[in-house]
Amino acid sequence: MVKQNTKVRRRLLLLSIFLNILLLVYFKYSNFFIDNLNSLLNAFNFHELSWTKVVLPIGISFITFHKISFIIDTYRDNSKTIVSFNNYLLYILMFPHQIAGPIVRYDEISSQINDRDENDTIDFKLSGLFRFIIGLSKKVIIANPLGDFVNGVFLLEVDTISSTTAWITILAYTFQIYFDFSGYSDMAIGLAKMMGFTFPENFKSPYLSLNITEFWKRWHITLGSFMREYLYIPLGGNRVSKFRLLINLWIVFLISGIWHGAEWTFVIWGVYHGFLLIIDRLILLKIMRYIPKGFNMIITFLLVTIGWVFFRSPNINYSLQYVKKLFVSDQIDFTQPLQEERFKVIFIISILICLLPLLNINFKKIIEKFPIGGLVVKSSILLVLLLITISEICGSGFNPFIYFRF
Amino acid sequence: MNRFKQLIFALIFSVFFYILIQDLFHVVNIRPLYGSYEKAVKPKYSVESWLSGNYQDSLTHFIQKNLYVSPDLIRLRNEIGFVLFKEMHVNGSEIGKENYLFESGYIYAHLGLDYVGDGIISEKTRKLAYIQTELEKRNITLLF
Repeated sequence: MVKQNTKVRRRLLLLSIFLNILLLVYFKYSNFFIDNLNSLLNAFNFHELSWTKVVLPIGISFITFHKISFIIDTYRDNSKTIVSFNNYLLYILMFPHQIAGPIVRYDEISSQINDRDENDTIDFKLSGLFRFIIGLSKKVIIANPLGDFVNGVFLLEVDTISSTTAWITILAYTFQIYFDFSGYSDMAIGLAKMMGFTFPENFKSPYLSLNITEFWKRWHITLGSFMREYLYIPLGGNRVSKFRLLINLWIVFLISGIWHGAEWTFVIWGVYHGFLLIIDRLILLKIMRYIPKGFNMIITFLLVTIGWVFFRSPNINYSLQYVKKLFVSDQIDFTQPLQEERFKVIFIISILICLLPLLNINFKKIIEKFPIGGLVVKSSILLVLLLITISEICGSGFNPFIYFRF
Repeated sequence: MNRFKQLIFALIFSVFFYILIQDLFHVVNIRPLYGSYEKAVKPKYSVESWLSGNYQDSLTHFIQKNLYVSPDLIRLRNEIGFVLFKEMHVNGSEIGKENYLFESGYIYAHLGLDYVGDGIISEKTRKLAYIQTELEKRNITLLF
């Protein structure tokens, strides 16, 4: 039988992984590959290849990772009974996490597919609904207005914007991407909770990290976990020479960057973070022990913010000019970017929300002291937020999520 | 306490049901929006538009703009924007004293900023005179 034949199982495993990655590469990277090939052909005065652009199926990156997780987890565990096709489909097509995660590994959820009685309580469902509303509010009330401003500035030529505008814009993007992505994760986790599933957390106040290593334990946690489990550890993990470990780290982040998008800017972003992690391991983590935590936090935050320039820019040239604009001051103009009242208020609110965990306020304990009153206040606030977000969605235009294109 | 939590859950969730029920059965009458605006048109399905993603975008836009409760939601959004941020989504208007809205055209006219020039005035007058003459031949009097 297949189960007992290790060689056949291994070959099927590799074939499955290969086919899934092939599909992802075709849909996500073939346009990028052809565009670059045509640029090269043009440079040597050859004819361009004609190519009908492939449309990217929604959520393909996350679906592919879920399928790979299923294949590998099933391969690794010989003792489990064969998973039914219905359960497999349920896991892959579960809509809350399909478009932008969190990446839920199969072994994290396999027992929940068949039995969720433990989570079939009103507390669980209510907590899910609250989480969903918080996520929706993060996206619609905070991320979208910041995004409107950021999009407007990034349409301009870099040499027409001041350094101050460049800084405020990239800081706005730093908060936009956090609230957009974490908002989506909150919605996915909340929806899953309402159906009795527990999804893993994806963000833990990442902008309060003391170093880049910690940042990647707090930002897109499920991606880090996936990469560690299915790429870093198979490459040898920590059980190799220091040099090999650093190379493995760099490879993981190069692939993470490529996974994020079919543009050279994402590759640079991945390489940048891989490089910072190597520097962390070599020297920075040791040095930062002697620096006050506040400074570590600011330095890490600035390093991450500079990385977002590459993530957001339309091309490498623009990103390099933008980074130069950040550090080479020209005309200073404090009024240029801050004309809209809504942007000013939302920008300040987003900073305060990111800093809130530093106050260590245990809201759960406060609500437990006043169970009914606390619940009424919390529910009222969330109901108002829900009405505001629904009115924003209907009153404004189309609202794609940033990570929707992955 | 569980009953109370179930009530809270139902109350918040009922917001979604309210929108759905209103859309299907129009239980509560909603005042339509005033003013001139472009109505979203239901997109026509085709394989090409579906593969390019245009159909999905247009359909989402159509559904959002044509929800029965959409006028009330737009009013709520505009009110919140105006009260909190002094935002206004009326084309060609300005917020004046005591939060009155003024059409920009009258302000520009008062300040003499809307003068289009003798050339354009002559051209438009000539065209109107021509139309007036042609209509007169058909026993239609045009006054301007």
